[in-house]
Amino acid sequence: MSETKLKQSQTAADGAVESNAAEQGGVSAIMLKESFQAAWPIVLGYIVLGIPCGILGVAAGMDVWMIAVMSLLFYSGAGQYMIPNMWLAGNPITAIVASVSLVNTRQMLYGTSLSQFCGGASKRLAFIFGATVTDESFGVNLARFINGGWSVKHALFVNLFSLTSWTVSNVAGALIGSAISLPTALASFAMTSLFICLLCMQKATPANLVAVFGSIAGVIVCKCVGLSGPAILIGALVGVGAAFAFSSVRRDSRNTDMKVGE
Amino acid sequence: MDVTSFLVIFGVCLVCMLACRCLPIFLLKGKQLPEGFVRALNFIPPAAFAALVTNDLFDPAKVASGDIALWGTPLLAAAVVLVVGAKTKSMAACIVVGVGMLAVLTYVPALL
Repeated sequence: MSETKLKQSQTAADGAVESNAAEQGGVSAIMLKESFQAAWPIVLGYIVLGIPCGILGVAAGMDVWMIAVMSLLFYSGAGQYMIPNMWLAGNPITAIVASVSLVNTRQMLYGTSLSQFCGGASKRLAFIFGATVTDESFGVNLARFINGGWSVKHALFVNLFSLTSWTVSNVAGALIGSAISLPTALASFAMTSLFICLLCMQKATPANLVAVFGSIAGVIVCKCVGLSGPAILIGALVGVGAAFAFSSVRRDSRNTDMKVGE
Repeated sequence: MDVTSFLVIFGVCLVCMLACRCLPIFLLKGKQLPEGFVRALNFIPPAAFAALVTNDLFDPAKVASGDIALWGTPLLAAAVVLVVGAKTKSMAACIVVGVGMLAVLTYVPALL
């Protein structure tokens, strides 16, 4: 390799290292601490929600290992509540799988949104990160990505702390079994409260408000016409579409104003 | 639940979940996205959380039942959480207030 070439590749490598520094560097205690500070409210919420979920699984005749594997790999609050509930209600497997998968289609939105920040991440890191995204960790991580100083590794650890608490709580619930009965309506309200808080953290711009109300209307209409499975995805897409149209119209009128010479 | 049923449910749900979670990241990461698309992405968080909250609080069957307490109680608790969330932006405070409020509203009237 000639000296120039060597220099060039060295510079390119430096650039890559610089842009990927946060992704390729090791895991520091500071990073873990920052991630845990971001994750602990989720961890708390998942403990409250995970224990009754494990209890419910046992009630549906699931073994502890099934609950553990499911929590660790499938890792879905809504899904893991739906499966035992639908099984106990005597639904066929096809109906269970279809309903649960439809409810989970909303995850596509999170991956699409987070992909903007994963440019420097390796395929393996992007896969593990993507596979462990949930509603709550998406909200927490996205806010920090936008504020800056947040790497995919930071975000991954937020996901892993949350995943650990979800799995441990589910297994704990499964082991406790039916020894205690926790009201699931009360436990699941912990998640609703968390979603409300994540909603409050969004900027109250006119376009965001259009997104919120469009989305609320979309979900209500979907559920009224019996589309409860994809209600979250369709509702959210209605909100995004309405806000996009609103912001486009506003921008156009502003551009026209500028041309007039304001 | 027998092992075969579990494996079928778990396997299919897992594959669908991983596809939804990972494919968009793989297909879009590192790509220069059009301006309009990025602008639309910014509306995902408010739209998604509004959809999740609405989905949790609104159940046509409960509304149709005529029992206002059935759907009104969580709605009232949610309104309180909304105020707490707007003021504090604290997720922990929202969880504690939300669950506490719903417990009070659910169980206290029964004691009276």
